[in-house]
Amino acid sequence: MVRDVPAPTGSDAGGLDPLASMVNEYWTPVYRMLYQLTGDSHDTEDLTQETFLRAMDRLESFQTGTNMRAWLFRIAANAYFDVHRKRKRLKIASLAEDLVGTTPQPGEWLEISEQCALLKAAMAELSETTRTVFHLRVTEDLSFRAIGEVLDTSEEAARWHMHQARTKLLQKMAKST
Amino acid sequence: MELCEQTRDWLLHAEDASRESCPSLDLGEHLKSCYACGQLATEIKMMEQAWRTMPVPPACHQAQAAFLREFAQRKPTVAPVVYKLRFRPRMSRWAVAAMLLLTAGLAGWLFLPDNQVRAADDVVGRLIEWNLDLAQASTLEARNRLYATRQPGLHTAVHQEDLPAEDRALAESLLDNGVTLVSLVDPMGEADRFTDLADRVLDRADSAAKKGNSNETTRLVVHYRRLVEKGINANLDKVRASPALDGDKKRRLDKHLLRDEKRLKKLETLLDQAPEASRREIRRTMEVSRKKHDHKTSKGKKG
Repeated sequence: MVRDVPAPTGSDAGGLDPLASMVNEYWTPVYRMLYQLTGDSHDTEDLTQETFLRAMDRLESFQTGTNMRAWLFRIAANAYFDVHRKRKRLKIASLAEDLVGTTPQPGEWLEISEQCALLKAAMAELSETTRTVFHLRVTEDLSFRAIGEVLDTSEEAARWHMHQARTKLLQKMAKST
Repeated sequence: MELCEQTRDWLLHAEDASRESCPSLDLGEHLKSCYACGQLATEIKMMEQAWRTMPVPPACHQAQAAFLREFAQRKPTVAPVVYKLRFRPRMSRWAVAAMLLLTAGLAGWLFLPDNQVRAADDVVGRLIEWNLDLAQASTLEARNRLYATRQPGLHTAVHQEDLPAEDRALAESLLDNGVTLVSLVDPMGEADRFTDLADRVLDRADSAAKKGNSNETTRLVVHYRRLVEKGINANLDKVRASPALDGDKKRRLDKHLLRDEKRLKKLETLLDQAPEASRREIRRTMEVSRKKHDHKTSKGKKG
């Protein structure tokens, strides 16, 4: 087929650059969010890939200037709930396996590793939404309003879940020590 | 009792359960004075810190690399199209004007003194800025937040981008320095480590200048200046300002003065051998270094 159009420039070819930049910047936060939901590396990998593929499909709908990270979290959360609606428990064993052999991060110099394992186990007992609210607030520093948008709920509900998370986690950590 | 309940309720609901974010003076004062409520605030803080700094499973980075490789190998599904190029025998006036503007802009970008050499655009530049941001954060909590949000992307960039060997070694050192910065707030130790990094960057600038590479020399000199201003000098100022300035710290401060002098001499040598295009940045760096050195020397004499 011959078209009478100007020759394409390098930047028009492939469409990989926007994906690569998005992946490089947001893969880890998205992976981390999904990992605390699934507790399984394989499921997390599949869901993270699915998230970025969906994001590429919907990139035109993303409003430039708004929070891309929160937008990706929303896609990730929907991907998770689409696939794992019936799951109710984390695989605690696989969380413990993944902890072995990891490069120590700075927080671990301040925190006893046993307490980390206790915290993970305590998180596993929370509901998915409560866990996710806690994670997004503490690790990703999203406001309750942004968290509400990610999880398709209200700001007040996100605040309530945070209350639940803190209360239950503190209770469980206190019982374990 | 009522105030305890209000404080507890606030701590459990708050976006930021810290004393600094208390919505009222009463709650803030109560949090300071009540042991139980203070203890609760501390427990929440430690618990959240522990979660925030949990390591990412190693599978994360492997999965990322695998995902990018897979998509780099995918072939486009659209049928190839043959394009017939338009050929214009004469350039229009607008095209000529656009080219002149582009050339002028490019020349300005290369030669303006407050140049837009975007040192922070490259991986090493971004790592340096990240290290300096960490050093400027005064609490471990703030540093850990910066670490958690930016380290993964930087780590990936270092391991995926095609960096020259020397840049890669420097990048790895900056990543390691990031780890050290979040384990302890120690201005003197930080000044020492930033000094080592600055020395390495200056040596690299020297090599680049000898090869006649003005862009590389300029880039490295800008990095060096940032390390000196925000990494070394800012930390040494904190050390000098601290009330507990013992003999050991004073000796170490004196050593820094000597190293400062050596670096100034290196900059003078660099100025002589550097390509013309990079001399402006070198002179600017020397001015900054001289002013600070003279100030430190005079303070030392008075103190």
